[in-house]
Amino acid sequence: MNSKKQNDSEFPYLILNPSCSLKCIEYPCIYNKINDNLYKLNEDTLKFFRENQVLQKNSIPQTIRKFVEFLKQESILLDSKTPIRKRKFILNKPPIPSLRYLLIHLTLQCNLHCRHCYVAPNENKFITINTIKKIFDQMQELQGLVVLLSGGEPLCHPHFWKINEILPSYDLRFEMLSNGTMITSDMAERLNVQHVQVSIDGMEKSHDFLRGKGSFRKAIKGIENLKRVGKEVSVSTMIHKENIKDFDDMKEMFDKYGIKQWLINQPSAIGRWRDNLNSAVPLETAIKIMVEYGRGEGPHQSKTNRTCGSHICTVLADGRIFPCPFLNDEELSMGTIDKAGLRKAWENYTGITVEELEECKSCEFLEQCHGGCRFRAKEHGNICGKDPVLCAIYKRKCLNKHTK
Amino acid sequence: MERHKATAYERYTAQYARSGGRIGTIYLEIERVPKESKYRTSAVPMIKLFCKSLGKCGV
Repeated sequence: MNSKKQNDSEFPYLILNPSCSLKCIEYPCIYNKINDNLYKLNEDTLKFFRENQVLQKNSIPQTIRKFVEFLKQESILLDSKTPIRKRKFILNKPPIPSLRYLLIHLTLQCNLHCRHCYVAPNENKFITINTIKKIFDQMQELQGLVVLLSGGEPLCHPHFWKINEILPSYDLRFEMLSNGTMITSDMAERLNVQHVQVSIDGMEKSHDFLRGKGSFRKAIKGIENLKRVGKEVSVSTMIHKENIKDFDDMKEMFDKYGIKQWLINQPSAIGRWRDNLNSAVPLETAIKIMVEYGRGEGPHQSKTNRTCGSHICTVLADGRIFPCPFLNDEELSMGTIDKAGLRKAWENYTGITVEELEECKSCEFLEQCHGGCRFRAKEHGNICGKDPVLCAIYKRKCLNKHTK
Repeated sequence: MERHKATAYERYTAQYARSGGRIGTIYLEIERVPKESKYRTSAVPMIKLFCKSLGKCGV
């Protein structure tokens, strides 16, 4: 018996991958929460999946065999010994633009006291489990894709492990943004999130300068623990004066750990960083580092006329909803989880469109830059004004140098 | 059945019996949605704030 026939007799069924779910954003889609792959479907294909979550291999019509083969290649369909029970997908009409990503500050508490933290001060404030369930339910109902568990340090939430237990019951991908220092080997194994982003802000001396003595070794141990159990890990690095010479060493270290996504940013002048601006580096230096070392992918592509945050909003630790954790002045509040709820808050939020950016109208780079970040524009004096950082990037010679 | 394009975009026109035994022509289309590059095609870095959102704000 050839290997295909042997495989077919051992696994006579093809089933819809339990990590994949049918959703409806701007279009019908399949989302795989394990690998973050999103597939756009037409209506016929949506119907096909609603009717066929299990296929018996020996009765697959010739006409769709190649299609089925593609679905197998993409791990949308999996070999199975037995058929599965049909799953129910609630395909609600979503708001447009869709709310795909949600950042939650689970708690403001943190075990570190970093020089650049924007969330400071370190308060004993956290979202209750009931509210968290409500948020996840609402996000799922809204056809959302990803929930980013942040803070503070998410692991400092007093009931984090109870939250962790309910994660697998949702058709949502969970990504945790952590300082990594508390992730023991046992914890890494227990974590039900699909992805962990760990902050590494330099090699030992410069990282500890920013985050406190001993934090580097603990964070690296955290990464090792996560990698040992096969968890997907990315790294986020803030550029500061002490670490600008470390990037080659960091690259070597991250390559060794198989880190595919390395986000490199520059801290913004808020929170504790305001008192530490003498450790900031010039923008030109930061750009060079980001271009040379940064890697990885961003959100799923989408075309909207919004400036930033087309598909994301934030729930703070007190339950208030904002466009992003930086745009959190009371007049920009979108409501609260308890009163407005996520759907109403998102539906009523109009965002800022590219057409509203009076100062950018004549800019030749507007189509590419899309206006950049509204928080930086606001800090610069006008929320509908220019984002000085993106202006600097697009208008510098480095743009031409790198576009050639 | 016609396969129009390989790679991440697949389109098929197929005769297929739906539930109830009804046979009709259906157009099966599936496309993997690409992700934004952290470094746009022009290699201009998407400089973000320290916002920890994994760049999902799209800036």
